[in-house]
Amino acid sequence: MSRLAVITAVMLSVFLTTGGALAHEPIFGLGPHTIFKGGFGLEMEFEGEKASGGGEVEREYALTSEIIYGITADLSATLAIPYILERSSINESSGSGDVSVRTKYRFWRRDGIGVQDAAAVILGVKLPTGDDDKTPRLGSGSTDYLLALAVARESLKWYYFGDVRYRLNTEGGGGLRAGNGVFADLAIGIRTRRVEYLRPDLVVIAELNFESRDRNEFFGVDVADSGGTRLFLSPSFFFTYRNWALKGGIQFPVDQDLNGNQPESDYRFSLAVETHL
Amino acid sequence: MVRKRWFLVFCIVIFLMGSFFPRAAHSRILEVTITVEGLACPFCAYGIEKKLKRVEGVRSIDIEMNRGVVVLAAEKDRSVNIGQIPGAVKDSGFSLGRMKVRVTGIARLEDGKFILQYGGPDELFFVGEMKTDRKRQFSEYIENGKAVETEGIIQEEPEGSWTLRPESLKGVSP
Repeated sequence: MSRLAVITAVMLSVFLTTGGALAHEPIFGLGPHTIFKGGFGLEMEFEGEKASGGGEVEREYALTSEIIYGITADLSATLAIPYILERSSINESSGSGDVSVRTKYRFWRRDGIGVQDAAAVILGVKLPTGDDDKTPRLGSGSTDYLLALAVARESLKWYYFGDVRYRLNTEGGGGLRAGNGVFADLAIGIRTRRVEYLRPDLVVIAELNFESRDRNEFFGVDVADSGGTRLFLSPSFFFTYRNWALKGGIQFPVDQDLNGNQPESDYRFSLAVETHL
Repeated sequence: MVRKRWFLVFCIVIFLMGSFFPRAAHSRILEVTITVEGLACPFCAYGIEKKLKRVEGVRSIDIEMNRGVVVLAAEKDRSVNIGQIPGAVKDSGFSLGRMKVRVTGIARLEDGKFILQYGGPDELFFVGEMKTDRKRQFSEYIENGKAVETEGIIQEEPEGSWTLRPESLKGVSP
């Protein structure tokens, strides 16, 4: 079992849990927003991570295309198709990654003038469509599941978000099973200048992203150098004009308590363009 | 000569009819102002623009996001289909607050109820509670058959009819 495979599996699993922020939502966490009934959202997201330690440097980049559809005003479905570039100190591979499908159901909403409180449950599944024969691997070779609960208060001035996510991983290619993970995010955002419709709008956000991962298993045996906890502080933004949004952010590690000897995350970033049709 | 005279009489009759009886073309919902609750960002407002633009008879939409107000202006010679508005707001993921209309129509009294008809047989508002002087004003419009322009809050009743509470009332020339 190569150490590279373990690192790659962990890095790949980042993308299901963080991708797919919709409209005015945290970039690295999740929010309860859905799209209008019959509406389509198209998103192109470029995200990446650099990790280093023990003489190794890992870089992973993913360009993910997302299609969001509003089944009802409170129920949306998202299909995410990533294209991944993996680069380690010794080799490099690129190609299609694991496709994921998510549904979000906004089960509670309270509306007022200029304010909306909402809560949603999110279910996701990541399919083993990526190539797991390449080195580094582009897919985990496993079918993995995501269950999340997200709440938010959105107002004309302030935004508040909170979510908890659980990632359930199954055994994938080469007998590797990435450890399950629990993620929690808090975010606060402020609109820099109150604007009307059809005016450019900027909201800046500060996110706190916590993640705790179990040890990976290799043919049922725990991998010592895997799992642990991380805490990130993430400044992010969304800039919108009518039905177009540009959003992005950087995750800086505040604390990393990793089991054994593992490369530590140096940073992660995300930049996305989204439109609603 | 006789034919010319009859033609002149016909023209005068048509002119007088036009003067004394308001024409249906003047009866319509000119503008609807709605309060939308939950509207907090310009990007999200796109959904409501898209949904409300599909409401029949809507020419343009003006979204005042900070007040949570959306104004729907009617196409020329058409009425805004108010029955489609609640569904459009719901489908865009927000809640509908008050609905206010500016409407021209014919004032009528049926079974002791004041009615404002702004189009076909089913296009009417039952007029809600009015102060005495406004009731008198409304009765005068019924008597002289003048078209009425009014602005007021409307509400859909459980059985599907609409009630209008006029805030202003004035006669309009056809």
